[in-house]
Amino acid sequence: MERVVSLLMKKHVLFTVSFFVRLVLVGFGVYQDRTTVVKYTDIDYHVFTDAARFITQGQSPYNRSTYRYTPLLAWILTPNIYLNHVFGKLLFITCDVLSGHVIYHILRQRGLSCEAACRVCSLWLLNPLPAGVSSRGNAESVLAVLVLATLLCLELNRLVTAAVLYGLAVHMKIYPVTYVLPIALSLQRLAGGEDSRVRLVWWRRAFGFLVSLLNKELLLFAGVSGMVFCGLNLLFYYMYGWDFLQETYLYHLTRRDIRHNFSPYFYMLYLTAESPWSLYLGLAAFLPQALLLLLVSLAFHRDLALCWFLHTSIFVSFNKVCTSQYFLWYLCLLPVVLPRLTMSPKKGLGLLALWFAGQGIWLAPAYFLEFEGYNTFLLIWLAGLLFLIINSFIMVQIINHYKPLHTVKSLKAE
Amino acid sequence: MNRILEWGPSFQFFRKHKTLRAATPFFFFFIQSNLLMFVFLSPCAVTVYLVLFGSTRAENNCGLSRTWLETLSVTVDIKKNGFHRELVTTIGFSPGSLDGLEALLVYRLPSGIYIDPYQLASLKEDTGLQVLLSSPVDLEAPAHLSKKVTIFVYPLLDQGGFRATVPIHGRYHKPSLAGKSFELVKIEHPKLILRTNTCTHLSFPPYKIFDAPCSVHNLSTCQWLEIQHLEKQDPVSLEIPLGDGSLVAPVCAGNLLVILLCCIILSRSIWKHGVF
Repeated sequence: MERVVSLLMKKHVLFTVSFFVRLVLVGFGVYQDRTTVVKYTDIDYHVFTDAARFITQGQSPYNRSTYRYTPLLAWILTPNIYLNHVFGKLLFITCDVLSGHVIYHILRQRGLSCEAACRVCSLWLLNPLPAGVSSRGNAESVLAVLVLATLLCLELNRLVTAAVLYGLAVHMKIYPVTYVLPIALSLQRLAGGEDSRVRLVWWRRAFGFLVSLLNKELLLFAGVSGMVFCGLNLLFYYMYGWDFLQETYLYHLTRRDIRHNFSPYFYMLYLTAESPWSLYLGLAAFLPQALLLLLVSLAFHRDLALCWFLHTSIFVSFNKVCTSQYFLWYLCLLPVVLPRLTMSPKKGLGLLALWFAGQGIWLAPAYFLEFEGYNTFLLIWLAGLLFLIINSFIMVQIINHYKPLHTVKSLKAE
Repeated sequence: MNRILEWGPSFQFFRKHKTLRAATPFFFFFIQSNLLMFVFLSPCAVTVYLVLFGSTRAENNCGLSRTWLETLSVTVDIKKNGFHRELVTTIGFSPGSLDGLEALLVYRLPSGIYIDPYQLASLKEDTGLQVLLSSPVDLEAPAHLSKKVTIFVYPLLDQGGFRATVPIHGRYHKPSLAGKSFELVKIEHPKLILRTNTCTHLSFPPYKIFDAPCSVHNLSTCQWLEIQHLEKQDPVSLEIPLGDGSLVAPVCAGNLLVILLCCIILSRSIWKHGVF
């Protein structure tokens, strides 16, 4: 057993095994889809494929209702029609394994040994959750690899590549747009605009801060990523018109899904959907999210990995709509943060169990509502609130037990 | 009917696979028997054809007899619970000649439920069941913002009877202010209409003629015979859970409280450990 574990911790063995496991899952999915009524393939995968089919017919991918993604995804998946239906799944599992690879490099960059990095990486690579999600045909892994690669390039100071990847990531899904503030702050620090601890009037300080934001690095990053983002958007707006903006971005911004989901806001939004102040309630719900994101950016921009992890988990937990696929957005950043946590493994496992328990407590009434027809709206709402409390508690524990980067560096210097 | 035709592009998927899947046993039988007639037996066939069908053509009931039609029955059943159900329709009749007989069920679905056309496409791959929708469906709208939809179900011949299992989904309804926990959504009994593919003109009083798409591909309209004696049955119904509208204030207050609490514990910890 020990030999198997130590063999698995060799880098190429780990990556080969994890890719093979995902391949087997894809094969199993094809078999299960053919033989049973309960399908393995994610419903979204059919949406992608249908949209890709519209593209091969020279039509807009938005002819497929509920296709709410960039046309780029449908374009990438046209081999689903031309070659084989599983092409997309193979692409997604490749991205999934690639994410593991990027995580490995970030960890090495942050000073972990090869073996230690592999051990942490295996938490992602041998984790049934991302493996299952990507082999079922969900596209989250594409975004995971883009976000992680942006982080790696920023840590390696490859600004242009990072900017291109970042522009692409925001184009694919809007949520990484919140990383803009921590990135700007960290680039400003790189440019040496920090440490103006001279006591000045607050407005002079604020003005100086704004000026220091306009440094060469930041302008380069903003220019390149803005160009990628706007270029793709203009291209697709030209091709598909208003539908593209509406379905890809505006829908997600104004989304008011009243159907049950993990969000603590769901029942409130359902009950107030008809009232005249529902719009203001929806806008007010952005407030706690925005305040916390601002605070996290200011507090942790020195360590982008931690900052992005907290950003994403706060964004997802406090969001008006939250489904289980959103959890992957922050889970892909967890392995990068994990080595710096000083909590005991027992406590870590306890927090993990708590997180799963929170989901279980929500899933039970949701199942009874959706599949048994019991009226469990109130229980689902309470479970959603409990899940938010659990998530906040876990985030607090992570912040409290995190060993910041700079203290390690100063220790090394000593 | 225009609205059906307008919605043509969305049915391209159905059309593309037409040649693969849609060939029903009747269709094969029809082609086979005609080939036999014309290739091998063409001189006799004309006389046989006249003898066999000449008399029925005078009445123009296409080989359907009144006594047989009166044995027809339709049972509707809803299976499973919750928001995702199955609408099972069975057409029963006394044994008799079914050559070339086609049946069609016309449902008028209430706004409280919907049918997912994409799920129907995969269902067609799995079971061969074909369903045509009269208008595009919004899969996410709540009941009070949705409209009734007419669907045409082409049932499958299964062990001597026609049978169709159509997946239906409940929509979210307006929360109730009167303390009602469930909304009863009633599905009216379907119209059963019949035709035989051997004759194009039907005239069979007192049965009414009903114009409906000939096949799921919705390329042309055919005359079908409406079987009316079935319509007096009670509608089937399903219960959809409702949110409790009287809880608006406590729910908003609870949300505010918990979110404030979470914001405070998070901010405190960020403030303490962050480097500003």
